[in-house]
Amino acid sequence: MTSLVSETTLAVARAAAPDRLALGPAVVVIAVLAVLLVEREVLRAMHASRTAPRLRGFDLVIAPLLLAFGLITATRLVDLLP
Amino acid sequence: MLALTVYGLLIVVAEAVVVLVGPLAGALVHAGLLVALVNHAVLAPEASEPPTAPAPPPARVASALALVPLLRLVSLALATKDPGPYAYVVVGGPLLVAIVLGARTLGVRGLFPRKGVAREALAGLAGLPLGLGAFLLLDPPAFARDPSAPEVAAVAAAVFLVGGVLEELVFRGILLRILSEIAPRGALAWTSLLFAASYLGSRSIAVVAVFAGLGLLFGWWAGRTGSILGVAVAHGLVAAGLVVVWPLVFS
Repeated sequence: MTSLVSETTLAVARAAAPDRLALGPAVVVIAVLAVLLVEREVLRAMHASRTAPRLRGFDLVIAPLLLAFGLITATRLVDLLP
Repeated sequence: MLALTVYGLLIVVAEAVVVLVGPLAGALVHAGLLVALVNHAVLAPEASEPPTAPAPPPARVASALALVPLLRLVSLALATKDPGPYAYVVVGGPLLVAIVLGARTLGVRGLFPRKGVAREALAGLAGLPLGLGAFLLLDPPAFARDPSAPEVAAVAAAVFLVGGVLEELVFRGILLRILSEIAPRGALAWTSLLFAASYLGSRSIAVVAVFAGLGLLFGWWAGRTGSILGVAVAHGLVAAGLVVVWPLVFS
């Protein structure tokens, strides 16, 4: 029982199944990742010279979300293995 | 300042939504907050500002605050059926990346100064009685199902590092420091409020109250000494003792 692994996350884990993936918080993470990636590229293309140093603000969130995406994919694949 | 206060309150609300409404609803609120905070951090600079200028304090606070919804999203998305070391290692990976990038982007340095290591070590050992006190008060279930020494050591190490040290890096290491730039008087209270709110997932008012108190204590010490070594060790010992060691000792 800590803030990262709590009764709530354990309840999420108990309810998790590959066929329920579409309704899970994992999909929210993937959606946020997609939104931020697209937004970052749009901003970079529109204001390349001015916003370039600020785009690191996106990387601060995108990098851990990318790692989370990789882990989500890996754990789901493991779930699906016979 | 008003916008940042609203963000802080919305993070608390989002934590409550996770518990009271459901993890998916809570994850959606956290996701909206995360996108808003990142946009605030990136777009906050004035148009006339040179691109090489350091980010203004509100943008830095928004970046630091973004770590809290990120922490919750990752912990919900990577929830596993096994609450052992595997769960902590999986959640801790993205969190560690966020902390390293956050500290680098925000210019947070000197979290573990060499000066005063002995004092910090002694402060860290306070985590042993604090963890025992918290266990006697809260009586949580044990995480380690197999009471063999290797299993207990692995779970305790994972909880110490991820549940203790990484959380301290987020809350006292980055958040408290950055909030202090814009609100020196309110930073401790805000950090402790957000820290306590992150424990709402325990579904226990007693747990939230205990960690609110610990958050105030850790924040006071970290602010006084300028180091988070002591509070990181203390938090790790509290967490590992609370959910791994003390339940086995008293079972």
